[in-house]
Amino acid sequence: MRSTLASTLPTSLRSQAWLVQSGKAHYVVSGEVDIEEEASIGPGVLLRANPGCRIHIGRGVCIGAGSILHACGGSLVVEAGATLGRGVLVIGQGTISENACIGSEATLLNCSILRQAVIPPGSLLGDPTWRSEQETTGVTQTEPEETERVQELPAAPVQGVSEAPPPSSEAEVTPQEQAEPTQEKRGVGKLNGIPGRAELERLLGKIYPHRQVLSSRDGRF
Amino acid sequence: MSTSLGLIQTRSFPVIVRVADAMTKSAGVTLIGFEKISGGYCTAIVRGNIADVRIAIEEGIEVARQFNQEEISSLVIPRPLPNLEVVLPISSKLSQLAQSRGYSRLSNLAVGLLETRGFPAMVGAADTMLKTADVQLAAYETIGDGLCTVIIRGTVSNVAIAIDAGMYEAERIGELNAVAVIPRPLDELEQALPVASCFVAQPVTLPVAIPQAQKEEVQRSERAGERIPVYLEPPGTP
Repeated sequence: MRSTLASTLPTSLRSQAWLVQSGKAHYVVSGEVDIEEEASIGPGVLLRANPGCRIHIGRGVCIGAGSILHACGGSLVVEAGATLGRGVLVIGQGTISENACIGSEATLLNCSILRQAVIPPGSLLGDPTWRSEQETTGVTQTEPEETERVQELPAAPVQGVSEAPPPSSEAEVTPQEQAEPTQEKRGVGKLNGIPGRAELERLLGKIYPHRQVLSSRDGRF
Repeated sequence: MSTSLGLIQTRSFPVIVRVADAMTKSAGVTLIGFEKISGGYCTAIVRGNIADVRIAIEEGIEVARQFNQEEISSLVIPRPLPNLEVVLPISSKLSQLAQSRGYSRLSNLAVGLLETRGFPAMVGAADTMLKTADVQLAAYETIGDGLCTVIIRGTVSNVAIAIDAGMYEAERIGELNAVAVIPRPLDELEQALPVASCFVAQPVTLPVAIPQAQKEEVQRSERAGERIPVYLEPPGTP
C-alpha cells in the first residue's frame, strides 16, 4: 500500500507522505465511513457518521488536520479532488462537489458546495438555526451509541469500514460532542422522541419562517 | 371485482391517519377505513389495482418509519377471494355510502391529531388547543392500550399552533404519545375519520311538490257595469 501511494505522488511530495506515515498520524472514524484510495486525511481528523447516515470521501480528496466531518440526517459526500483546509467543520448532509476548495476554519452546516467553488477561510455557510435530525428525533436517546475506533494511518489511508467496530465501553469521545451544533436547545427534552413532532416542527417552520428566531428558550411563544 | 388489498398496521392512531393520508396521495387507491383492534393496534385498509396498492403500501411504510414506528406490519394481497371479502371488513365502502352518514360541517379543513396515554391528558390538551387557536374539536378516538386521540379541525396555521400548544400541555399532565397534522386531507380520508354527531349535518330533504288547486282568476266584471254617462250636447245650443 505504501508503495502504491508513493508511486502515485510526485517526487516532491513523496518525502512528505512518508513523513505522515512515520509520524503515525491518527484520525478517528465512526459509523459508515467510506474512503476511496488516494484520499489524504490529516492527523486529528474526526469522521463521524450517525446511524443511518454515511460519509463518502472520493478519490484524491485532501482533508486538513483537525477537521471534523459529522454526517447526520443523510449522506455527506466529498467528491473527488475536493480540498478541505485545516480545522474545517462540516455538519449535516450535503455534497462537496468535485475540486471544491474549502478554506481553513470554515464551517458548513447542512449545505452543499458546487464544483470548483472556493470558500474563503473562516466562513460560515448554511442556516445557523438548523438543528440536526438527531436532536429533533432523539435518535441518540433510543439507539445505542456506535463505538469508535482510532485508526492508525498507514501510507495510504484506506479504511476497511465494512468490518464491525469492536465493542468498547468508552463509547463517546469528547471532541465529537463538541462538534454537535446545538445540543438540547429546547428545554423540553422529553418531547423530542414523540412521533410526528419533527414533522410538526417542519410544518411550523414553513408557516412561520422566523419562529425559531422569535421563540424563547423553552421553545414556546 | 378483483381489486387488490393492502393493509398496514402501526401502534398509534395519528400515525396511521398520517400513513393513510400519504397512501391515498401516493397512488390511486381507495381508503376503506381503519380497523382498530384493541391494544393500540390500528390498521389502514386500502383497495385498488395491484400496482397502486404496492406503491401506496411502500409509501405508507416509509412514512411510518419516519414516525419512529418500530412495529410496522403490512400486507399486499393481489387477488383476495370473495369469501374473504364477505367475512372480513375489507370490502369497498358501498354499504357505508348507502347509509349516507350525512355531511360533516368540518370538511375542507386541516386535521390535527394528538394522542396521549390516558384520558385526562387528552382532555387537558384539547382544552388548551381550543383556547389557543381557532380550531374545532371534531371527535376523539380510543384504540386501547390507554391511547386516546383527539381530532381537531381548522385552518392549517391554527391547527399547527394548536397542536404545538396541546403537545406541551399533554406532556405536562400525562404522557404524550404522538401528534400529526394533515394540511389538506382527501375526501375519503375525511370520510374515514370519526366526527362527533353535533357536527354532522343531516341532509335536508326538499319538500315534495304537492299539487295545489289553483284559484281561478277573478272576473272583474262588476266594474264593467259602472259606466260614466257621457252626454253629448248638440252644437249651437246656448
